[in-house]
Amino acid sequence: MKEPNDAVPLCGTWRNAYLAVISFFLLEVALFYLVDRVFS
Amino acid sequence: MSGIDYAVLFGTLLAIAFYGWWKTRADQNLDHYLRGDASIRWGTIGLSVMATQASAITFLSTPGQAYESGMAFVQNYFGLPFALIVVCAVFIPIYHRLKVVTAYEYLGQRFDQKTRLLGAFLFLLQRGLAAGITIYAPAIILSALLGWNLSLTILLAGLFVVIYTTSGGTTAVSHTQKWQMAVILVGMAIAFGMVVHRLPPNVSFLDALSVAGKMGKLNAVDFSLDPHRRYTVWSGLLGGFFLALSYFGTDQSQVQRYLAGGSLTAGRLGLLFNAVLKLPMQFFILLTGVMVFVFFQFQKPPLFFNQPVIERVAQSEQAGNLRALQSRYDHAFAEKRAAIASLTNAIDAGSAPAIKAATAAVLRPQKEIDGIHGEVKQTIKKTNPKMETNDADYVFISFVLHYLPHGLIGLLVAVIFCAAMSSSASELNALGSTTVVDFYRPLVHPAASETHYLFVSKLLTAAWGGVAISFALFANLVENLIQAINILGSIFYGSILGIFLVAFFLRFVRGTAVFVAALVSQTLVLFLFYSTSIGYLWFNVIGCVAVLALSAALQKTLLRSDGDSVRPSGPAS
Repeated sequence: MKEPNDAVPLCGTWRNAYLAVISFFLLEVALFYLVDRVFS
Repeated sequence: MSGIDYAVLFGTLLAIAFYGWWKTRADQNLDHYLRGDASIRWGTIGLSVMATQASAITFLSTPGQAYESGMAFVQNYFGLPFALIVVCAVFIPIYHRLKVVTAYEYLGQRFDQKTRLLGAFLFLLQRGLAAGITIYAPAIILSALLGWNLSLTILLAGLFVVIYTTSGGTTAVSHTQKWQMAVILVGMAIAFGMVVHRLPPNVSFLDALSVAGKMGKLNAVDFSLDPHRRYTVWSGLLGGFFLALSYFGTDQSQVQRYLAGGSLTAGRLGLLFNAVLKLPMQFFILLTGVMVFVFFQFQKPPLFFNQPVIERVAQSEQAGNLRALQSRYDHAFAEKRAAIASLTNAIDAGSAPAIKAATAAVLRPQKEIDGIHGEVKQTIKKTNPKMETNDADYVFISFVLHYLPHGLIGLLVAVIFCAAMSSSASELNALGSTTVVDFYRPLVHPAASETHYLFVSKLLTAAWGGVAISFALFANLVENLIQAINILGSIFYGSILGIFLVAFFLRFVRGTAVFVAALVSQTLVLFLFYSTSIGYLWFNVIGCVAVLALSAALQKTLLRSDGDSVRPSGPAS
């Protein structure tokens, strides 16, 4: 499906925005994991 | 609570309710009432979506859950970012293109009237009951701890919401939720700061994290494949994905939030805002609960946080048992407090063998305390089997009431009320809209004026508010009501999501096939619910997959002649 690519702050396209969300999720999970490892 | 607390509480609630009414006082247009006006931007939509999902129970239960079981619950939200991406990429563009007001209107355009009514009916049934619980659940806890009259607490939470939601519709809901969410986030940040501040002077935040980690409370990521573990990365990704997809994609109380304002980009950005921030928010709320746990390693907590229940046991024939348990608890806690002091010293010294020995010395009395807590619950059951034995929901609010200064207590109680009001406002707004758009307009009065529909929308929103408040007032008459409502949600969500996924992705399937498949799948889920012990979260997956498989099979076999043409509503069109 074609998606409008205008006005997506920081990311340019919606595809990039979705990839950014997934990347952020992976970073969050890595951070949670590290917090547990470091302090346990 | 003191006078200043009541001033902060009522000042906050009245200011937000007044703002909602004032912002929309001249808004008398049906489209604005149901969809919201064009000035609603993506930030407001994002906060509105967040506020709808975060009910009062989120802020009462989640810290208590972390206090008892650690951070593992955060994994339940691991599927949410992926579900929101699917909603942004597939669901929202279709809703916008067809200019629907409710999600079920789309089912009418894609399939037929009976499938639309089935979807709308399942939503009204489930959300109508849940709206009462959204008000009742925090009211029962606050009234128990603060000694307030339960009915008055319910009316306080309910009446403000009914007034501004009925008067201003979607715009009022979105704008008030923005401020309610601001109060919630500021209040929770202050609570977090206060609990860290109230730790002993020689215990830093990093020391507190170390104590929590050594006691197994920072377990936020569990890659275990053991199906008996309640929260793992895998159950969170799979179960959480289906739950979030059905909730955000098909539940009108959420759909109405991101369709508000009428801009496709604003709706999508509002959802992506949640995809990014929901997980850190839940992590932060759980971490607040963990810090409360660490605080109570140095400050002795009560034997049982639900004080009204324990006072009733103390006046019963079980009083002797309770005194014996209290004595054992006092002894175990004194032993643990000494061990905790050794542990913090060992952490500061950085000596690994000393840390290991001190951790073992802490965990021994902690295990005994956990056992005593279980015995207290059994003693409560012996006193009266109907009494509440879960005190996790009372942990955070007990900390707030006993250890925060006046003024902040009022703010934190306002946080609980704001959360209850923001969720129930979305529910009432969605219930009123769905009843008018999917039932009243097509079935009762198809050709009335806009003014008439606006009047009926307001009337029905107020009526649903009346239903929710009445249900909350009589909710204590039904045993295990909250669990029943949660189960009810999971039982129906799977089938509803299945209908929508068929609509989006199986373009050859027509109305009759999906309608029959949904009825059969729902019957199957109900049968499994009554005849097996499957965890109810799995009904979301079973119901959804059954609708997809059955509708495709029916369309390809028995109903083949019914599929000559396809309505232009799929994602590829």
